[in-house]
Amino acid sequence: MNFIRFVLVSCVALVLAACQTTGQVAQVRPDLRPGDTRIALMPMELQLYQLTAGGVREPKAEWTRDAEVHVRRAINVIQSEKQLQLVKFDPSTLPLERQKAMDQLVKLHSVVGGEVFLQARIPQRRPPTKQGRFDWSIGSEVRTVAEATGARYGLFIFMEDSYSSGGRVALGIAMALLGVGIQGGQQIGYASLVDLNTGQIAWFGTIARGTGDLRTEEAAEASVRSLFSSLPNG
Amino acid sequence: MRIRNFLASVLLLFSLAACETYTAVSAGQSVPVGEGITVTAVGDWAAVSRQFVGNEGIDAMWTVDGPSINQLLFFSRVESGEPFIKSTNQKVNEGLPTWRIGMTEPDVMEMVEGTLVKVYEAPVVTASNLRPQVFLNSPGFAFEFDMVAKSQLETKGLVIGTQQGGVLRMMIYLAPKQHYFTLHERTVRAIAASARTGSS
Amino acid sequence: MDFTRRHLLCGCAATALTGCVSQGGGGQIRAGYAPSLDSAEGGLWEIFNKAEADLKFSPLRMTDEELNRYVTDIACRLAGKHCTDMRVYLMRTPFFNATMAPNGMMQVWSGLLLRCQNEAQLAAVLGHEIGHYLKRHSLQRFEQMRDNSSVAAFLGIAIAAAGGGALANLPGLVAIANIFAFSREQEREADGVGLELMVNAGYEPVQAAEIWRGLIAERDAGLTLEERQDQKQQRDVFFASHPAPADRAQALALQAAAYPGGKRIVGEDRYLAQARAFRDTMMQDELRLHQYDRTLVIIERMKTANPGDADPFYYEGEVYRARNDGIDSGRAMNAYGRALELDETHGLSWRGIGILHRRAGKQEKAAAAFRQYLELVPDAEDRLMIQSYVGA
Ligand SMILES: [Zn+2]
Repeated sequence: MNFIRFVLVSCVALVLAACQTTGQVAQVRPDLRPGDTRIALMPMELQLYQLTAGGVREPKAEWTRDAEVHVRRAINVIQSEKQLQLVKFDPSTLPLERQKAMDQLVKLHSVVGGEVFLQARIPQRRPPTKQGRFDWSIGSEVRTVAEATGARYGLFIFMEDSYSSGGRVALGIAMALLGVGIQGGQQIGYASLVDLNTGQIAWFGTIARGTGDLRTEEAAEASVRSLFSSLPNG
Repeated sequence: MRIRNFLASVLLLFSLAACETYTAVSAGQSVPVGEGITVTAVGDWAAVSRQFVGNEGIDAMWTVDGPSINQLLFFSRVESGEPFIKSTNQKVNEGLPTWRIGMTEPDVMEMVEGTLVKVYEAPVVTASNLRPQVFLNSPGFAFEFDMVAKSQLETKGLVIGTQQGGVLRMMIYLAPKQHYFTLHERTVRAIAASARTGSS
Repeated sequence: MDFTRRHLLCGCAATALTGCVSQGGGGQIRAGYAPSLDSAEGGLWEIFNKAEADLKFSPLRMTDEELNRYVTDIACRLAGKHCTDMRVYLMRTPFFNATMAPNGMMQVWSGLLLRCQNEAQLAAVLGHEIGHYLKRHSLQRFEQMRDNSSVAAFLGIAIAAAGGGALANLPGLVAIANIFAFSREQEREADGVGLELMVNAGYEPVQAAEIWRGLIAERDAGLTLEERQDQKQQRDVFFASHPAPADRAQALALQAAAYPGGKRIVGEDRYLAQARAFRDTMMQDELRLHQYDRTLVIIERMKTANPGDADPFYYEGEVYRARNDGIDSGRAMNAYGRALELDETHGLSWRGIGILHRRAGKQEKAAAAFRQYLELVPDAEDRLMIQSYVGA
């Protein structure tokens, strides 16, 4: 699907929206009663980049691995604060065919989550059909996750962060794409809580901002906190 | 250099702000989709504005959930000797299969497969279940296809069309195979059934 | 600019990206090697480990156990003690290519399987790729590029190539592949290593030259002498750092001749027997690319390999039917006819004949052919459409 132009628009708007700190979209209130609502943590999509002088993004494996540790730790903090019961979902224990289906499920969520994120962040991107109540689903394939984990919800997390080689200045994809060298840049991400009975997204949180650093533990916690700020307590 | 790029992007933003990305197509509304075809919407859709459609040859692009998720494409008038769609990436357009007067329906199906392989840059596109179907009150055809998109997400498509009056008229619905294809498949079929020649 | 043609030429260009990596370009990688995560090489491996996790479940992966075991076994015999450091992924992508990522993730595309004529040829390509791995060529390349900010583009492309399907963006891939291709030196080195591995594993080294000759034949098919010159000029621009296939074939043939003679494995029968079950799928994917002249070269090879085989004539019919220029209908009709002479139950040939007659407005002849088709292929994908033609 050819959406270069969409992406460009999205990126420009994203950059301008970057001065806001966080933003969340409408949600169906998930049922998070303490103790009896298990949440399966789906495979996370995390990637950190270094911005070279030329403005291109070089994926940094080491930073990404650190960030993963930091983000997991931050999620644990939030888990105990909000009294959530998180369980790990490990698809590799399933038969190969199921694993393939889970891989497709994660990819579907990736596409859907990306669209929800853009629509949440860029008003022009939201079609009239999506102006009403928040209504997003990834279908019934999610039941496999429920069966494997006994969880009621699945939590999908996507975060991306870029830093210039020189120091702390984070620069967004948009800027890199457009080749624009503005100081500031950003960290973008979303978290999505999916009802494992229906496939409905019950809560969706986003983050897009010019500050933050997933490479350090404290800053990573602040980012994750911001990402989850609108999630109701259990 | 940097400043020029920045200005260009700001200008781009302003020029975009001036136009809407979508136009609402509400259930029951009759809307022209390209030259000489009018359809009646079943369910609510959003028509993507011309400048955001991208690929050439698409007379109208509708979506329900957003264009990265589902697309309903209308091709109202493909002339003999022409490809029905062209990519914005000129490199893949070379040697695109063309529709020709006198093709049989299996020929058209193979032409669509061969075109999607190039334009969507998908290594494998396989069509199935070619069958007769009335479209625009004329004898036509329908078939499904499976495609692996760039994201490695399995995508499914439905094609309904007819070759009448020396042109090919066709609609293609595209969505992830999981959940989304079937979600709107019925309404797409109903929209196809509502298609009439002439403008409203 | 026909990208597929150019792509064919480079054969290993995309490989260069996913290619191979090494530490400071120093010596051969040791068996069981894994770099430390904080090194540049470690970072690179990590990226490809992620790409590999994705590739594992790609819908494009050919998962047939027997075929996978067959190709993996060949790679293992070539790689020797490095066998367990590599994983082979067979991808349904109809272009001639094999790639080896720095972490040992090797991809073999269906377009390559379709074009190899025997086991020794497949071994030649695998050996060459293993050569890049052993010599860690992609790390050398990566390090050369760190300084000029092309690294991200390099990685982006490398990952795209690693994703199999993502590489579907072939023109872009090839364009950049040309910029980042391995050096002539590296290609020559990989060819040399590949040849040695082949011989050590008992294969006939001359076949390494044959595969390139086959690709040249395909590249030049249907071109006038002038156009061939033009191709060469283009290639000189885009493949400045790549050995020309003709030179390469020649160099390989010379080197192969230097090995002592003796009874060596070519493995035509067993290769074709293995590929047979997937040949039709691979040919249908090939036909969808509408690169008629090149497809005909592949078909001619099939005819030579097995003169009694009806399928190549059917494929020939399909090529001419799709091209439909001038007297192509007649050519297609002849080819389908020949297929039916060899195998009167070749239902798909009847389908082709039916379509040709229907195009020509000969409805009765068309109906007769279609009836044969439906009888022979009762679960045809286009059954309902064809039935409507027959009036059943
Ligand atoms: Zn090579």
